[in-house]
Amino acid sequence: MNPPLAETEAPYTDPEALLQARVLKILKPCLSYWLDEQTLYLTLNLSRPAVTRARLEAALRELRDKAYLDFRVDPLSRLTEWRLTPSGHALAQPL
Amino acid sequence: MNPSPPNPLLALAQEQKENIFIWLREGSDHDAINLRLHDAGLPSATRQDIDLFFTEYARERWTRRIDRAAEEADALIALVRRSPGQIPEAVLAALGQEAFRQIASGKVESADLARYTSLFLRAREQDRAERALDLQNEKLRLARRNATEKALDAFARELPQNPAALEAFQNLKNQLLDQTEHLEEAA
Repeated sequence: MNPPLAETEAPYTDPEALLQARVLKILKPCLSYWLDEQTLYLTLNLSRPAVTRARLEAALRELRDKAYLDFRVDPLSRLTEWRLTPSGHALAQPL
Repeated sequence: MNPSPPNPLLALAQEQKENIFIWLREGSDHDAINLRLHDAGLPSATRQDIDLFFTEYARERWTRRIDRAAEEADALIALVRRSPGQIPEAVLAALGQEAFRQIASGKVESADLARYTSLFLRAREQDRAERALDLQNEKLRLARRNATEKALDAFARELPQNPAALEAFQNLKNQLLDQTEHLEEAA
């Protein structure tokens, strides 16, 4: 019998899909609040595999293009800020 | 191979773990941490235990912070909403977003933010109470002035046909003039 998957281990073989799932999982508890890209980047890099800024930006763009994420630019910090759309919340539900 | 023994630091109560994390973040070295553990009546730890504890606890703490930031921001909005006086929804939304940003990014602890907000609300309430008292005093002063004016008007209407009132008026006039003179002398 195979051992059960650890809670944090997502069933993804594609590293980009895994990264997108990790982004959705981080944004899920943020509800309607906006999370800035810097905090998102730091949070992703607390655990392995490490994520570069370019890969994170590509993952965010792809999720935004699929309408799973909303984004805006904070006028003070000039950082992009992200949150899940209703369909993003539905997608992130099982994560 | 024998499995390594569990890290004793990770088994401590939440408050103790938080304290050790803060000591490490302040730059305490291995010996200083063990001295503090000893002072707190806790078992000593190896250098490896301490390094591992810092890595694991920092990660757990950060994740918990992000997970709870929205709840903390919502709680802060609820606290402000319960305070007297109407605050526009747009202001509350901006406050919630800023609280979320500060907590999620690790710049401010949620408990500190709640404490600052309570202090601000208390100061605001006190200011409002003082303003209300000033307004009440001003209304009282105006009411007294109106009553005095009415009484004087009534008195003036009585004067031509009432010699006693005329005499009383003269006395009052003299009295006021005397008082004015005394005031001028004193000045």
